[in-house]
Amino acid sequence: MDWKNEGRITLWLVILFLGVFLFLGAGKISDHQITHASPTGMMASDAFTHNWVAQNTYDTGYIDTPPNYAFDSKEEAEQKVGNYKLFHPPVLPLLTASITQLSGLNLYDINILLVFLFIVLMVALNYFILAKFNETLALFSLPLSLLFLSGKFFISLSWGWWDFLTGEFFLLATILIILSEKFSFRYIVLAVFISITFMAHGVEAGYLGLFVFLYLFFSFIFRRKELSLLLLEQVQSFLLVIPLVLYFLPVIFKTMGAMGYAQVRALTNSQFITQIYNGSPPNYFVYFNEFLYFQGVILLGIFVLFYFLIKKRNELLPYISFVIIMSLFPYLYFTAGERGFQWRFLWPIYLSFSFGAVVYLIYSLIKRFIPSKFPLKFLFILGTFTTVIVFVLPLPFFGAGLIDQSDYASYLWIHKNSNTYDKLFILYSPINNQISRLYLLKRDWFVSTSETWQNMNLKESKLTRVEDHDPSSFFCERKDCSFFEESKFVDKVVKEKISSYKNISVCSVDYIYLPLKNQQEIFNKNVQYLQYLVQNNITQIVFQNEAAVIGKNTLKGEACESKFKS
Amino acid sequence: MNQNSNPKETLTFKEKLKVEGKRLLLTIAVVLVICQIAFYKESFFNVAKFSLSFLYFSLLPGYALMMLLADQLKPELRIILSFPVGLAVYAIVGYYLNMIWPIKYLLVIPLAVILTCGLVYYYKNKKITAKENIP
Repeated sequence: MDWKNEGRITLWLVILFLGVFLFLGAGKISDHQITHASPTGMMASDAFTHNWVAQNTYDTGYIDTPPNYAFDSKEEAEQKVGNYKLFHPPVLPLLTASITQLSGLNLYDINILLVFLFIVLMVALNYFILAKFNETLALFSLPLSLLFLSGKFFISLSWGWWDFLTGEFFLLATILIILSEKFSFRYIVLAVFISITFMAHGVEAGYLGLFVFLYLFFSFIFRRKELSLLLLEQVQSFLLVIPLVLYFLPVIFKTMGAMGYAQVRALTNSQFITQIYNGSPPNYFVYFNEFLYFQGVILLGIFVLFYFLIKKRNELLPYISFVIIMSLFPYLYFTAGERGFQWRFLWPIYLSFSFGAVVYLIYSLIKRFIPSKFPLKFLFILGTFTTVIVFVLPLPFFGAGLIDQSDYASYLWIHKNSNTYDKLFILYSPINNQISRLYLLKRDWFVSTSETWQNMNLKESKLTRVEDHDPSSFFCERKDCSFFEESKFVDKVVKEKISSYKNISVCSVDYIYLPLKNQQEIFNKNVQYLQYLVQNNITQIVFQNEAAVIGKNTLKGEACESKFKS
Repeated sequence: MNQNSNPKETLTFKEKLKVEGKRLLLTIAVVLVICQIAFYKESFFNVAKFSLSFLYFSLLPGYALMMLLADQLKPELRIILSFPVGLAVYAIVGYYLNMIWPIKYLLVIPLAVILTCGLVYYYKNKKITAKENIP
């Protein structure tokens, strides 16, 4: 077999692997369907947050426009709606809304599938980066990526770390373009990638800075003649990046940046866990034991590949050093904290090189004694794939997630039958602690807390300590996130947080939403309360299915209050 | 195409386009097949709508740009980089244009990128062909 054909077969093997990865990942989480009757595969609040931002972009047609129901009336909406900027990273919502607009499919389906496609492409980008050193090693590295589909790694998708994944996708693309052969206008592509990485998830631009530093450092050591050209290219691209992100820069720095979303903490791992989480880390933090029986192999592989690269002074040295430093971050006095742990979700992709290095070492030892190399290579890839897949399978279908078909049917009823500015009161359910699952109601709502539920009684209309949701909370007022004006954004957020729990009267809302899937004790009291409102002709049941009952207040204000007084 | 140009040169340019076109079509077909298998319970119509819409924002404009800016790169590298390039260019241009245009009008951006790159690529190659034909 000639090398050209072998290269082609290798490429088809990579494509086959990506297909299997998509089948087992996105295929499984979505029950091998693209369209669903309700949002599917979203298991935590963050997923719904990102989904809502994309949905709002699609509904309003504009990234920077809050929904009309964020205001009290049409007049107020018309007056204020143009006065905002979105400070949530805009890349994923914009892409999701645009693909939805063109395809006509459900936005929630497009959103999660798009993020999974980014992960598939990340596996491919990582392959091409490693192939710069050795195609066979890169091929042997692929199977470890399958671990991403299992255990805690996968919750980065199902729990909604979507902006992080989008940022990482563009970060890997930037690394590949930096490591690829130089072409005339590479600095333009580089500038576009740096800008989009920053806009997709700001922290990844910081990581990119570290990579560029390592890249220039290794160039200084091993390729000093090229250093000035490489430096010039970085300067050229940086000069282009400035105008590309200039508008977005204050939007992110005066909002999320000012609120400390970067989560850069100068703490060691143990200090961080002790100080922030009282010694017990949250259950989604990834530790090395998630690698199951591969831990030893991975540690060995890091040393093997690093030795190969140093020996050959290979151009991949900055990338591997970057991955190792990033992976060790939570153990160093640098960027410990949530961000350090977030990076670990992608360990199966980033650290796959070490698995590949060990398999490649064994393959190199055996191939000396075997004349036919390609079948041996094929056997190795099949063997490693089978070994990893044994640990990954079976992958369960999680079900719909935090909102099922009947929940979503009640949401759709609200969209269709209530007025834009109507207010909803949602009776207590512990599942609403994942509060973003309610965002898709697309109305202004108050949600009952456990305290509200405990104090709720039939003698008074007052509801204590309900949580007031602000549908414009992902937007900043223009003057608070512009370059030239002093920002009062953080003060406003603090004030709003303090006042977001309030006492309201049930007579002030338009609809009452009763979730039926609940603990018996909570369910009984909620039903009793709604029944009382119905019996006293305050509320009329307008919708009912297995997930929820919706009541419309036919009496409001004083007429309603008098019913409680009597 | 310039009528007076050397037929051999014209053929080379045409061949080049043919090869690139084939490569692009093959990539689109591979993406469609992979998606249809992964989502085998879905109708082909919906799989095609999803896959082609994704490719319209990623691969197609990205490939056009990479053909113009980086045709020295290996084809497979160019294809894989086309996805982030297309998406990045759309997202940046779209983000700023969205200040005046709603999302539905932004859908023309990838088409505009493809057409612009196509025209520039055509004239760039025409110029090179014409220069090479000078005796």
